[in-house]
Amino acid sequence: MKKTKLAGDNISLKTRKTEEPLVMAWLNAQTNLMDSFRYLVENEILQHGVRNLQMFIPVERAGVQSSPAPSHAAIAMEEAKTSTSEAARAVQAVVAAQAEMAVAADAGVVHGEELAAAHEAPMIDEVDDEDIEAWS
Amino acid sequence: MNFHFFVGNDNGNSEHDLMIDGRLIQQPNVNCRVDELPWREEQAPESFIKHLQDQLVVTIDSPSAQPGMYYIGKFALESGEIIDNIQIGIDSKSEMDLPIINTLSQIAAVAVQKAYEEEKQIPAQLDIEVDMATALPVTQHTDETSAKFERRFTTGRHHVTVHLGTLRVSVNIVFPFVKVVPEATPVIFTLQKDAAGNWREGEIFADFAASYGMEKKFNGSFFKDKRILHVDIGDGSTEYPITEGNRFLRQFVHGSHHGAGYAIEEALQEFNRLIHLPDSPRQFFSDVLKNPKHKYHARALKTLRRPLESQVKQIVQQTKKQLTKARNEIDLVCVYGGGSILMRTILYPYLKELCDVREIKLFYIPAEYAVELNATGLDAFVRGKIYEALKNKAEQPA
Repeated sequence: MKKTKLAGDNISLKTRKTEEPLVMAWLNAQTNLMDSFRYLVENEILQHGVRNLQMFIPVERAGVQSSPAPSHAAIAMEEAKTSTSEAARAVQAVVAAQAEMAVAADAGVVHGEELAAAHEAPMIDEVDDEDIEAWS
Repeated sequence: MNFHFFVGNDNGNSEHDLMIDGRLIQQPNVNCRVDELPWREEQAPESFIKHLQDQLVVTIDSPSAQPGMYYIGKFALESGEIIDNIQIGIDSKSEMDLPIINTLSQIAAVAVQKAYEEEKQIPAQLDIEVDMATALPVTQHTDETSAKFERRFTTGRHHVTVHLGTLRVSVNIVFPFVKVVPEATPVIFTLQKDAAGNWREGEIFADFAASYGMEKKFNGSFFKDKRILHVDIGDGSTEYPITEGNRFLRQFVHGSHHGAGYAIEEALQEFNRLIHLPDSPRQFFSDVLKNPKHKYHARALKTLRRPLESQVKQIVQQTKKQLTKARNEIDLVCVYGGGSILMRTILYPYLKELCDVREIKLFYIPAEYAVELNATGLDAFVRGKIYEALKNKAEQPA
């Protein structure tokens, strides 16, 4: 049985060697990776409640692709560029987010710790496939 | 009540060290089969709970061991009954009942204690699920023996009745998955990280870091990608595996039948003569050796010196052999195990010179940590990513 995670426990994340470039780009664009993940999880919970996503998503999926034809992401970016109102809204959102972050930063230590934890989390896992192979 | 435990289980020839649910248990690895309970009158069952490990009496009903009532560990050793132990150099651990019986008993005992702690009353029955990592000596570890040893735990349900005076607690134990690795190899995990998963720090590294001028912010990350030659000196065998980062290198796995136990056996007769006993078990001699305050301590040490020296020389030879095989491409030699404590004064100078000449660092683990490393290493392993991945793999239908 898997150990139940308690609040405050570490969770470890590691990217695949073959990770999609767009996924990597998204990861690298986050200033607080853990909080971004948390936001995605919160959205999932709001929509569907708590469930094991592995039971609902296909193992093989086309996913986001960076090279061929304009992907959804690319289209969204194009739209944002062309539609001025969209762009304006995007800028507003960014400004708002920055303001929020500034407030949070003022709130001080807690946020700082969270940031540190967020940066640490993906580093915790130093085990790779070859390590696992060595023990099997 | 149900519990799930992680168990790191080091079935030593002399001592049984286990991390059960985060608790380190250390007991002589002996037991004896008996016909009846040692207690007749009723005693408050609660009075047994706190020091249960020292007065452990169980009845075992398991598909993997001879059924019956047993005294376990210290209680068996002190009972005066004829005890069963692991004959060094003779017995194959994967085939013996003793490691099975003692492992089941210690897990059941901790479960009873934990249930009492949580509920403040003694339960009638407990169901325990266990994830376990354990080890076999390098000389006995093959794909076959490890698979066999694993199966003896994972096959079927084990029933252990823990006797608290005349009160019985029934404990059912199942092992969905067990991994058996070569002894000493999981120590790399406990050198790197502490129980909370952070880089290990503390007293254990103090002397080592100081002797090589590395005190500044020294922690377990030092061992992250090092090539280490382990010298794990037990009672009946010494293991010399080579590890690199989080892996052990199969081609270098090597063990020899040397250890403190041979020296102790050689010295035992002389020791018994000196203390006017016709016969006393190896574990009693070990206890006297471990206890500097024991009235026979000095005598025990004296009889041991010469036999110990000959074991040390063999171990140095084997270490040299491994270094040569690895073309000296080793970052550090790491010495630990119960035997390393007894041999320290004799062995350290030999190894230090050997390592200095070959430009290798020597980490002779301080006595306080030398014994438990195997158990804490197995504990780190069983809680780690590698165990989880192996378990997932095993669960997937072929």
